[in-house]
Amino acid sequence: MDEHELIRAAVAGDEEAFAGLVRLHQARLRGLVALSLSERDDVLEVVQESFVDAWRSLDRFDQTREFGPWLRTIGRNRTLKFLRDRLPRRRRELALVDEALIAAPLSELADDRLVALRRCLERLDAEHRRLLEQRFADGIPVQELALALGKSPNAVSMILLRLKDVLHRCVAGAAS
Amino acid sequence: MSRSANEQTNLAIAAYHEGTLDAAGSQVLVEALRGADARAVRDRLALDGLLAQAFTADDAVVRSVRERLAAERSASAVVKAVRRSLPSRRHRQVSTTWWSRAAVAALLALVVGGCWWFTARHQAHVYECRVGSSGPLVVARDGRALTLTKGGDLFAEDGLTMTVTTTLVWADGSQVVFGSGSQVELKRPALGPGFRLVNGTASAEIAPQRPGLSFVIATPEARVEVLGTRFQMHAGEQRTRLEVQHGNVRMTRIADGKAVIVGAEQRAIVAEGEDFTVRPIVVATTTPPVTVPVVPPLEEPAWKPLFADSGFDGWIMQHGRWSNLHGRIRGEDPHHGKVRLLGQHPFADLELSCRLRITGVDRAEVQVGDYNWFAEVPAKGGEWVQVEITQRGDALRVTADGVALPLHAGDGRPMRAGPLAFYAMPGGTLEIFDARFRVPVSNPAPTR
Repeated sequence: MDEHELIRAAVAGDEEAFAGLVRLHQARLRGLVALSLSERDDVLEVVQESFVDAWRSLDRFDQTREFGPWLRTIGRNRTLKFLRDRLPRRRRELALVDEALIAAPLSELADDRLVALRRCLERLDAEHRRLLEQRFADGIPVQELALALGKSPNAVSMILLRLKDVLHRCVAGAAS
Repeated sequence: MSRSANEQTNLAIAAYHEGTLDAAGSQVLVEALRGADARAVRDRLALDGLLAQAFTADDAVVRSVRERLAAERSASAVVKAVRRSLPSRRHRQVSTTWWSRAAVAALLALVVGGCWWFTARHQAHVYECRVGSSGPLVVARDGRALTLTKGGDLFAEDGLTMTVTTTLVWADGSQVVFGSGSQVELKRPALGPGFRLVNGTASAEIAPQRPGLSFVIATPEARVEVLGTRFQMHAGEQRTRLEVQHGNVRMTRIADGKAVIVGAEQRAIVAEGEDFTVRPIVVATTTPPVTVPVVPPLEEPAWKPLFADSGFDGWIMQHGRWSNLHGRIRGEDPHHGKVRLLGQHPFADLELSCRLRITGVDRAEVQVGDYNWFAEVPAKGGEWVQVEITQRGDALRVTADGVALPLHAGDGRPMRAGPLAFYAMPGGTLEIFDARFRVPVSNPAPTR
C-alpha cells in the first residue's frame, strides 16, 4: 500500500495501516522532537503521544494534503506542551534554557537530521560508534566508561566531545 | 561566534545535559538561543538527543504506538462494560437517596479495584510460552504442579522446570531460550520484567526496555540488569557465567554488591575464588577436534522440507522481516538491522541440505545446537551457495559448495541438542531455498 492508501485505510479504523504510517514517519518525527528534548525516553514518549493524537484526529485530517507536515505539526505542539509542563519541575537554570528553546527558531531541514546523523555515524570507526552508543543510547556514565576503557573520565569526555564535534560538522554539512 | 564564546557554549551545553548547569551557564545558553546563531546552537544542543535516537531501533516506536492503541482499546472496552452494568439514566434520576449514592460509590470502588487487579495481573502475564515440541513444561503454581505445552500462559511467581529446550516470549518481544533441565522462577515485574535462573542455561534477546525499567535476571550469585541486548547465561554449582554478544549488561555480585558492565563479546563470572572482572570471550577460530563418525544408518530416513508450510510454524522470527514466497524463505530488515530466524525444535542428530543466498553483507551464519556452534557461510557475490550440515551427537560438519567451513564456538560448551538458527549480519538479506532435513531413525539424546 502506498501512503495515500495507508491513510485511507487508517481513517477507516485499520490499525495495521496506521502502523504502516508510523513506520514511514517515525524517524523524521523523532529527529524533529529530539531537537528540543535530549532524553531518549522523553523523545520516545512525545513521539508516541503525537502518533496517538494523530490517530484520534484522523477523521479531521484533510486527505488532499500531505500527512507528514500535518503529523509534524502535532509533534511540535506535543513537544512544546512537554517542555512547558515540565518547567515548574525544573531547576531555575534549566527552566530558563527550556523557555529559550521554546522560543528559538528550528533549524532548516530539521526533519532530516536523524537520517543525516545516521549516515555520519556510519563513517566513524566501529570503536567510536560503540563508545557513542554506550554513552548516549545505553546511558552509561562517563565514569563507568572510563573504568571499562582504562582511561581517565576527562580523557573519555574529551573523546566524546571531539566525536560530537565531528558529527555536528558532518550533519551541518549534510543540511547545507 | 568567537572561539572563547564557542567554548563557553560547549561547556554550558555539556552541563545542561548533565543537569549541572549553573546560573552563568544558563545565561550563556539563553543568550546564545536568542542570538543570531540560535539555529546552530540549537543544533548543537540537540546532538545528544539525536545520538540517543540514532541508536534506538525504529521498531521501538511502532511497537510502543501499537501497545498504546491496544491499551486504549482495552480501557475503552472496560468503560463500556461498566456503563452497561450501571442502571439506566432514567433510573439514576429517580434514585437519588443517600443509600443509592453509597451503592454507586461502592460500585465505583469495586470497579477501580477490579481495574487495578486486572492491570496488575495483566502486567504479570508473560505473553506467550513456546515449548519445544517433544515435551511439556512443568509449572509449579499456587502449590500445584501443572504441565503446559506450546502457547500456554505463564504468570508472575510461577516456578518452571524445562524438560526440553524451551523459549519464553515476553509481551515486549523479549525472548529467552532455556536449556533442557533449567529451573526458573518468574518475578513480579514491578520494576520491569525478568526471572530468577535457579539452575541451567539461558540464551536471551532482550528488547529495549521502557523508561526507568530494566529486564532483571537473578541467579543465586549474581544479578544482571539489561536494557536491551543479546547474551547467554549459565547458572549452577555456585557459579554464574555471563557472555554478551551485543549491547551492554550490568552484572552485580550479590555477595559484596560489586558491579561491572559487560559489553559486546565480553564475559564475566561470579563464583567463589574466581576473579570478577570483564574479559573478552575467547572464540575458537578453528574447527573443533571432533570428527563425524562413519555410522551406517539403520534405515535410510526420508528427507522432509524444513519449512513445511508457509506459516513458519516452529520458527521464531527474532529479527527482521521474514517471508515465504513459493518456498523461498527471505529475511531482511528495511532499517539495516540484523535478521535471525530461530527454530524451536531441538535436534541431536540431523542432516540438513539447503541453498543460501546472501546479499548486502559478506556472510551469514548457520547456528547449530542452540547457538552452541556456528559456521559462517560466505556470500559468494550474491550467488546461491549449497550448504550441508551433518550433526551426530557431539560431532558437527558444515560445508558450503562442498568445502568444509570452520566452526566457531557460540557459547563454547560441548555439542548438545538444540534448535537451528539462520542469521545474517546487519544490513544483509538472507534467502533460504530448497531446505530439507532428515533425522536418523534412532535419534539419540546428546551424549553429554
